[in-house]
Amino acid sequence: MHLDSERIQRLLHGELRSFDEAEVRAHLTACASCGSDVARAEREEAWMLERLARLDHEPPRFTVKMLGLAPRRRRPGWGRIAAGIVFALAAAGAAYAAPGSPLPGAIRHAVEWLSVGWHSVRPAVRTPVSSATFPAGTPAAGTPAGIAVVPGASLIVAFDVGRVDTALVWLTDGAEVEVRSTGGAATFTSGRGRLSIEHRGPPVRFEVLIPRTAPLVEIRFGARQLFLKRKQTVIARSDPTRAGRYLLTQSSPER
Amino acid sequence: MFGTEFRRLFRYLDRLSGEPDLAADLAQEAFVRLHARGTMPERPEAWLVTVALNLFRNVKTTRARQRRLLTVARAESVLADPAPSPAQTSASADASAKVRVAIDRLPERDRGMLLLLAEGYSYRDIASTLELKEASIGTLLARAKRAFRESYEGDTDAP
Repeated sequence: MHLDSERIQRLLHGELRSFDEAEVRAHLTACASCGSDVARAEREEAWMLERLARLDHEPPRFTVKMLGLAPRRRRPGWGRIAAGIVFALAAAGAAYAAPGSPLPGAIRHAVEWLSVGWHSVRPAVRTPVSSATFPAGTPAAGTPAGIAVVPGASLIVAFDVGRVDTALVWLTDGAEVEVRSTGGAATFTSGRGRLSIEHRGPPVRFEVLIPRTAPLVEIRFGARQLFLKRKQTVIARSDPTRAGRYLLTQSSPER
Repeated sequence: MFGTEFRRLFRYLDRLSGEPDLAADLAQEAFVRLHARGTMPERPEAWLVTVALNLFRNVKTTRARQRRLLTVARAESVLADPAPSPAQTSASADASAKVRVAIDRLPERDRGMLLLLAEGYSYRDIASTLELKEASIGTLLARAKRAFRESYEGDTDAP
């Protein structure tokens, strides 16, 4: 009895059960007709796969880290709400106790206004906000948002950011360019050869990790090129820290 | 898992739809749903392709409805389409178009089976995705391959 098409196809695709396979292979050693059928089926499959491959387009350069940005469709439970309240209270306490915080003064003025009335409140004096500083070479804990892309032959990382946003850049042994924001609401858009980051809101620091193997990666803040890695050469508008990291800001000097 | 499954899922949807942007959207949406699900299904690759196929069917249904409602507008749009670019008329694009015509002529079941097989899905996954009996997948695949070849050769010169 010859092999039917079900068995021939299963043989091609490794879908025969082990005892069936032994039986089929034993039959093929003795039956030239079935051997010919199997060979024809292999040729037909190769022909089909070659034709289907003509339909292919290049896949997009998304990675799994992008999925972290997608909202989870889960209602917050009581545990989450309680954790949120505790977190908010802790943050408020830390803000109140921080040296130079305007919060105590603001609360005092609010209390005065409530107890004495509008006309007796002195005008509030705003404490100037000092520029942010970052510990050299230490990435911030937590990554609320980020994206990773394969750098390809060349990649432009283009920031369209707020006034005092900064980017800490360093080289890694990874295979992907990663961009993370340490807070705020950033929008990441990945295109062919370009990764655009838009951020509007309170200043945040971005972290940019570039593979050492990336042939060409350029970082721009608006129209200004602040960082360029071409093969083994790095040209940046700021000096590297001892840990080999570059802190880029829009006010980085021309070099 | 994303690294291996996304490419496979994208390629399957791309070949199925002929629209790489749509394929990317659907593949990404399937992964987002897997993420939102919270727990991993027993066979995640089969789960992903089933969800993606259902999403694609929804898109097709919606488009068909829109076509019925906007027949006149669509006809005007077609008439206003620009002439194909040189790249589109190249030999490569021509070869791709022939395959597209041949695969689109097949019944949905045959088309789905061949494209899933080409991506290396198991008979079990093919059966569960297309709601078929696993025991007859080999026979159905042989028929689908024959139908694809006849469809291709009916439209073009024999290879």
